[in-house]
Amino acid sequence: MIKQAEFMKLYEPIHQRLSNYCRSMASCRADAEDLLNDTALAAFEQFDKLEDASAFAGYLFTIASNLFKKQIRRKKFRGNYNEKEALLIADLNVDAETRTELSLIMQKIDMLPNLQREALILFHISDLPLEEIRKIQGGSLSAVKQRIKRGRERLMQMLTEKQRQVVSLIL
Amino acid sequence: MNKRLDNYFEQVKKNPPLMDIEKVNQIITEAEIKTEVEVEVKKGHRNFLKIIIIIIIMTTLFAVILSVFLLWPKAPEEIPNSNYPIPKGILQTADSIPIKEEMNINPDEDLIVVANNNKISVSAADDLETKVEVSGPDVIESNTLKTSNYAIYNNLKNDSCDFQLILFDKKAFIFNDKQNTIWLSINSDQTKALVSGEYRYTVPNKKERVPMSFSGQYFINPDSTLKITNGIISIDTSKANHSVVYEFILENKQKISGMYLPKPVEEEILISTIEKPKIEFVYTEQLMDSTHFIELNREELEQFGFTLNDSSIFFRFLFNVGIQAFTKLKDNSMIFGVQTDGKKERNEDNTVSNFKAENFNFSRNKQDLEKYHKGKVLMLATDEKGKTILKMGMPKIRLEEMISSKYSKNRLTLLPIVIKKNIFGDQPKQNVVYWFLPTDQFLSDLPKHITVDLLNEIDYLDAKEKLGTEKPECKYFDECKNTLDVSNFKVFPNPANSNATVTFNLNEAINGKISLVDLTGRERQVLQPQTQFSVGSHHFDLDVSDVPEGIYLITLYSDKGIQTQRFIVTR
Repeated sequence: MIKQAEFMKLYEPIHQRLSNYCRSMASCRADAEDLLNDTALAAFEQFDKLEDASAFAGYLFTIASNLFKKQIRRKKFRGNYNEKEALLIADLNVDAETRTELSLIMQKIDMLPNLQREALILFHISDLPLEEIRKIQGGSLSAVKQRIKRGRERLMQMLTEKQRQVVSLIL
Repeated sequence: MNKRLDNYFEQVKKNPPLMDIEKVNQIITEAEIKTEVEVEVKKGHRNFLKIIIIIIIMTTLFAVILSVFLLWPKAPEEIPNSNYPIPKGILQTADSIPIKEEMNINPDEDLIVVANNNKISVSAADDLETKVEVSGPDVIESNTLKTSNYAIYNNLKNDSCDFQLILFDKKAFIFNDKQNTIWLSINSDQTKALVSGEYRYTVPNKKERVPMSFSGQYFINPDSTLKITNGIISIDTSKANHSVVYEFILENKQKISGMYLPKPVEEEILISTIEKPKIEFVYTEQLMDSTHFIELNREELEQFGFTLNDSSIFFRFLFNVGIQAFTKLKDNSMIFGVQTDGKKERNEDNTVSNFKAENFNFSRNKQDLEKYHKGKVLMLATDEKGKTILKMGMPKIRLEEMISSKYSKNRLTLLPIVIKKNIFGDQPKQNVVYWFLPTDQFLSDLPKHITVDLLNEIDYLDAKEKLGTEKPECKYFDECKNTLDVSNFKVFPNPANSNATVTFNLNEAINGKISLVDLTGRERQVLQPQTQFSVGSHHFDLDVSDVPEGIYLITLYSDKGIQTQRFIVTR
């Protein structure tokens, strides 16, 4: 039980961020909850092997990332748009215009390559430092930075194109 | 545009957690309990598996160890040990003994063993296939004798010697100050012979006998040999001056053992002062005193005891006291057999061999003696020239007992009955002469007129004053025909094979010659041409090396009469 208490002490501050990560990466709520559940359990089982408590966040997200990849391999497909939207936005208390805006961005983010999408989510939603992301995704730090930068640029580009298409239709 | 994105990210962050922290805690707690149970179960499984594996390994190891123990070749059983103490002061090692440079193992020099210093080499004649294994000299420890040197010869071509094991010990011993270089020759049809021996000897000046036992060697005198030929063991200890006890265990577990125990010197002297009764065997040729054969017709022969068939001539007679024997003459060969108590017949193809009655262990007693005294005793069978077909030996004293009282007691002779060639059908193929001892039965079974003539001649010869006795017809005994006054007319040796001497004494001077005449009356050799013989003793040497084997007469012809002496040439 000491182990569980220690684990929970470290886990509790990260719970929200991990939950956001799972919510952002998974295709539906059930998958997100499974991913969170499995990540917590796996992290707890391997908790004895964790030597440095300060690396707990990276340790946790690495597990989540690996489990997500495994999940993708198993499912081979993603959930539909409505489920995804319900997962990310249903709980938010926002107006209809904002909900549309968020839904549009969410749609564009899901179109990004996996590594760029994950890097963006880990950086902007889970608030993980770049170094932690590097450990999770592998590669160099500059590569992680490039993924985030390019992800943002691609995302902004996709959002701009959409807006132009809307404008042209009006014209 | 960036603001839109940042706004998006901020909005997403505001999403409540997918589940409460308490829920996570609960999941982990359940998972931990489940994990502990699984771990316990897994540990239990692992322990069980470990126990099973350990049991299997232990069982396998035990089985391997057990099988190795059972299947491990057992060491051969040790032959009686050689740890008997050897008395100091008597035993010397070879270091102080000059080594024989050369030892002739085989009298025929087939094998030669040469011992030089510490090496022993063996060579063989070219016509022998030899496989030779020679071991080097062994060490004699202070008071312990170990195995000897030995050589093994296999595949000898000699038919009578399939295997030959020669043991010799260059580390020789001295017993009683005599070199005791030892070698042992074994001729055996066994492919292998395990040899063990025990040697006992008498300590000089003491009656104590010290036993010693050896493995793989045998200790006898240097000149003594021990041989095993076809299961018959023979040991020549004629030159052994110490006792020998031997035991040979052949590969087929057959044990051959025995001992040679020479008597102590004192006992030998005592024994030598007592004269052992000597059994004098009589050469039957010496008894062929008569040169005139008794001729019988068929009816007389059958009355005498011959059984005449178209293919053979059978005669049953007394061979020795208590023994019935028979001869069967067929073509040119004669079969001799004996029969005891009417049960078994033992046939011997005895056409040439000398047959001694004493070689048989037949029971004899006084009753048998009396019973068979009167039997017919066939002693010899020859052809008409005296060449032996069958002959038998018998103690002289027994022959003398058996001669008829009607016959001359001083005259030990055989009386011949001839069966002429082809007289009955095509049998016999040659003239055959049966020589009988003049027993009562023999004399009574002959036709009466022959018996009378024989006895008359004998009486005449025995009569001291021949002048007063009517001279018989002298059909059978040459001596009867003698008319010359000669004493001690002798030929010796008789029988002879190359040289002989004739001696005689003359009471009056004569003019005559001496000739060798065969039974047909033909003069074969003139020993002494016509000569004037003076009174006194005379002797002549005869060379009969060129004369064929047979019975002859040495006859002295003179102007005052003749004198004849039977003479036999043998080879």
